[in-house]
Amino acid sequence: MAKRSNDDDSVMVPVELLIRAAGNYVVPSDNLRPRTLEAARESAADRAGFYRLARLFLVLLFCSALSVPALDRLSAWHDKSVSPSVSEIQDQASRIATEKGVGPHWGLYEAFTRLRFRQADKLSPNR
Amino acid sequence: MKTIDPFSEQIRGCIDCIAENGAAGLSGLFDLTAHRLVRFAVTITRNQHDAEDSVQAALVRVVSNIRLVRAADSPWPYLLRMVRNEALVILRKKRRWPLVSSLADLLTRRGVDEVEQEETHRAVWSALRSLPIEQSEVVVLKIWEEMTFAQIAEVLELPQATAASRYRYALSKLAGHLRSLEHEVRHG
Repeated sequence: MAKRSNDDDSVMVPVELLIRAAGNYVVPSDNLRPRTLEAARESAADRAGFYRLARLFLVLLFCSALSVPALDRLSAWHDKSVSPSVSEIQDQASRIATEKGVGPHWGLYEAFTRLRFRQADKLSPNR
Repeated sequence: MKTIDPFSEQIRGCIDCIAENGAAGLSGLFDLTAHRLVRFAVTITRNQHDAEDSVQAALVRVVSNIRLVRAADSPWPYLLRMVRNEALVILRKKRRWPLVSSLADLLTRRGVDEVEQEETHRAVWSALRSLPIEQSEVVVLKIWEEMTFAQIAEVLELPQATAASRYRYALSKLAGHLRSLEHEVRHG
C-alpha cells in the first residue's frame, strides 16, 4: 500500500479506487421515498394534534383559574340575595303564632317583619 | 467546524425548505441525500432493510427537530450522525441476530456498461462487511463521502488520530481481501 499522509486525498491507492467505484452499487429501494414522506407527514400531524390538545388544556386551565374567584363572588352575592320560600315563611308564621299565642295573620306579619330585618342586615354596607 | 461546500449548501437549502413547509418540504432533502445515507447506514446495520429504517427514522426526526438541525454548523455531518445513531439503535435491538455476511439483502443498481464491474463491486461490499463496523464506517466516510479525518472524527465522535488509524487498519485488511482485484486495477 502506498505511504500517504492522514488527509492526503491526492494519492489514492488501488484499493481505495476499487472502493470508490463501488460507491453507487447499492441504491435505496423504490418504496423508501413514499414511506419516509408518509411517516414524516403522520408524525407532523400527530405533533400538531398534541399541540392542539395542549393548547386546549392550557385555555381550560386559564378559564378555570379565572372562574374560581368569579364563582366565589357570585356565591357571596347569592347568599345576600337569597330569600326564604313561601312554605318556609308560612312555617315560621305558624311557629310564631303558636309561641306567642296570636292569630296566624299576626304570625305572618311578624315573620315578614323579621325577614325584612334580616335582609336589611345582610345588605347593610357596614356588614 | 464550518463546512462550506456546494453539497452542504444544498442541504441547508433543503432544511430551510422543511422549516418553511414542514413535512411537505422533506422530498428535496430525501432526493439529495437518501442514496448516500442508505449506503452509510448499510455499513453499520449490515442489512439494507434496517438501513432504510434508520434513514427513514432520521429524516422523520429532522422534520420534528428542524430547529436543532437548522442550528447545526455543518448539516451534512449532523445528518450522518443522526442516521448513525438510528442505525446503532436498530443494531442494538437486533444484536441477538447473527450478522449475515452475504449480500442477498442489498438492492443494487447495474448499468448496461457496468456488468463486468459487478463482480468487483460485490467483492468490495463483501470485503467491507468483513470489517468491524468501527472500521468500515470510517472507510465509507473517507472514500465515499470524501471527508477529512477531522470531519470523520466529528461525525463519529472520536479523536482524529483514532479515525486515521482505524482507516489505515481497515485499508490494509481490505487490501488483503481484494488483492487479486487490486492487481487488476494496478495493471489494467
